[in-house]
Amino acid sequence: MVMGVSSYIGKGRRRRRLFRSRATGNAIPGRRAKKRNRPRPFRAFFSWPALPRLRFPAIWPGRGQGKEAQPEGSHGGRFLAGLRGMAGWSWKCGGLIWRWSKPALPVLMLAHLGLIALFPGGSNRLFGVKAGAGPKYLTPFQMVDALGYEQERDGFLVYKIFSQNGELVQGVYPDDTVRPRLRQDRWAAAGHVISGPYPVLHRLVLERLLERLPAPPVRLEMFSARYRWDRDSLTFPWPGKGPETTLKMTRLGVYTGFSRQWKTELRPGEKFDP
Amino acid sequence: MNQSAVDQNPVNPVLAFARRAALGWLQFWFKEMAPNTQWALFRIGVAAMTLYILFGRNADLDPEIAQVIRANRELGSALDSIAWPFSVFLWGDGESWVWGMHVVAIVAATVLLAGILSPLMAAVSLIFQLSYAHFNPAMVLGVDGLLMLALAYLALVPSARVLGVFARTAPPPEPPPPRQPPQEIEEPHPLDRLAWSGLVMRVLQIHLCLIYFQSGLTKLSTDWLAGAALWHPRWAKLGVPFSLEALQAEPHLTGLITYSLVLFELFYGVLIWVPALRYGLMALAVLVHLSVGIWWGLLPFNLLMLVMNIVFLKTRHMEFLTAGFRFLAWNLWRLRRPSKPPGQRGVSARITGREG
Repeated sequence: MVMGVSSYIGKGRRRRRLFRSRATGNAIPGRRAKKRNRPRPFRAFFSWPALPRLRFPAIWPGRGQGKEAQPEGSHGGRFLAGLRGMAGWSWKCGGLIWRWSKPALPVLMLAHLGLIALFPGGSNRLFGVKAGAGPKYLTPFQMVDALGYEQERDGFLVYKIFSQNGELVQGVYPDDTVRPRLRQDRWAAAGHVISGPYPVLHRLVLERLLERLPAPPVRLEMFSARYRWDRDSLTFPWPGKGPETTLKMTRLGVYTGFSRQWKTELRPGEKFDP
Repeated sequence: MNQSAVDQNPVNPVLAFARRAALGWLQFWFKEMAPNTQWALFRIGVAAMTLYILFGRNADLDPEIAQVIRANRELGSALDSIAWPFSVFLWGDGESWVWGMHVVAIVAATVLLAGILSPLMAAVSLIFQLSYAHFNPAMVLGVDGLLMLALAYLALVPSARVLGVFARTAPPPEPPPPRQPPQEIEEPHPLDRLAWSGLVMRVLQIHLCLIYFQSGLTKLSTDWLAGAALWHPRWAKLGVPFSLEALQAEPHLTGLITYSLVLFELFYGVLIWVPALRYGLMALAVLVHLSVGIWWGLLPFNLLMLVMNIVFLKTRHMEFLTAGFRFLAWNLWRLRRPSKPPGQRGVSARITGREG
């Protein structure tokens, strides 16, 4: 039993009865409001704004409206009526696609997250499986460490220049003194790549070094270098001592100043861990 | 009540369970309140980091390496194995084209920071970041990958509804009049108010948990379990900003820190979902990322990770803060320019001859 005062609100077809509470004066939801506000879990699927309903102008044929209407039965009239039907059908299909894209999106995003979980950076190291190009685009460019700690890319290029006056100049490419640190990290990443089995990049570095030298060297050697930890070292982890490290160097090639020729020591197709 | 009607329509427990499960599923993915403040803070942090990285590239576009990579397909495919390595820097010739595109990228990031056309500018910035990566894949860092991830999510949501140039700054609402005519209650169902941006935020939260977990899994290696990974020779070679000899002399403390980092990453994705532990874990994340960033010179990446952690801030707390700031800003503005009574508004104009 409703304890309240009834009144009517709205006009015409929307006129309906409204009950108000005597105590508070607030409206009491009626049966229709309760039905309207009942829990509908799948409503959220379709809560995107619906596409507007197209109302084709009355001059379009097919209904016999308007002075410009083509006579029914004529080829032009049937063609235009068919166009109107196709347009309406396409619009309806688009509306269905629009409505169902919202529930499809969480599924697609779940699939995206699943790809990230299974193929971080495009490969699954646990099972040794690489993903295709598509999943690679969906995951970060490379395996991202949450602390930014990239300890796997630690190769760099070492060069030794034997000059004509008997001096030996050693250097590291890239330059470690680049600042700020972000730029230094980029150069370090480039150095890791350059110290890999890519003869084209070795030649590029060779040409840059030769450009900067005042005189052609007698000999120029380039090495791929990487620190190796001696994990069996007896001095670690005693206080004051760190793990002993050795520098593993692989000679990439030799440049001879007399013949001005670069001889690479990489065999074709040779892969090594830079 | 019509008992026969109830008997004819008994509640189906399976259907009721399915409806409850569907409701819970949707309420998990589609948050009730739009997280506008979190997205705004996220946008500002990501745009600022994008600008920093862009300004750091001024001299590092390095066209020589890029030219060699472009001229050698084998090298290009070895370094950049993405099937479609597009780059806007390859659409034109000459250094002027590269620098022109660089300026456009800076403008796009600046507009994103200002909060104008935020989804579009995020998408444009993402295209430029991908272009940089494909132009010179030898110089791609982890911070670039993380930035691309953040920009991709920003391109999906409007993130300038607050803290933006064109964000609405409505004054605090006036108190309602004492007597109001009765109105029909037409409260929309809670499910009808679910926000799209809430779905994107939820996906980003899960993605972040996956990043931490995978990072923790990769740390289950010999170096990290031995407690010595922090002294990797690469860092000794690159140099750390501060002297760490005191820490290096305490291997047990080093081991404790190392194991703490591993455990933090492994369990972050699980414990962050516990409401009571969320803010404590976020405070720990701030400590970890700031410490690693400052002591090991990895500040850009770790600051970006802190920006990503903004997505775990609770919406109602952010709404409270936003309302508070808006109230404070509005009242400070009113204090700066006090309003005069209607009768005296023209006095200063008559005296000084200028409008007040």
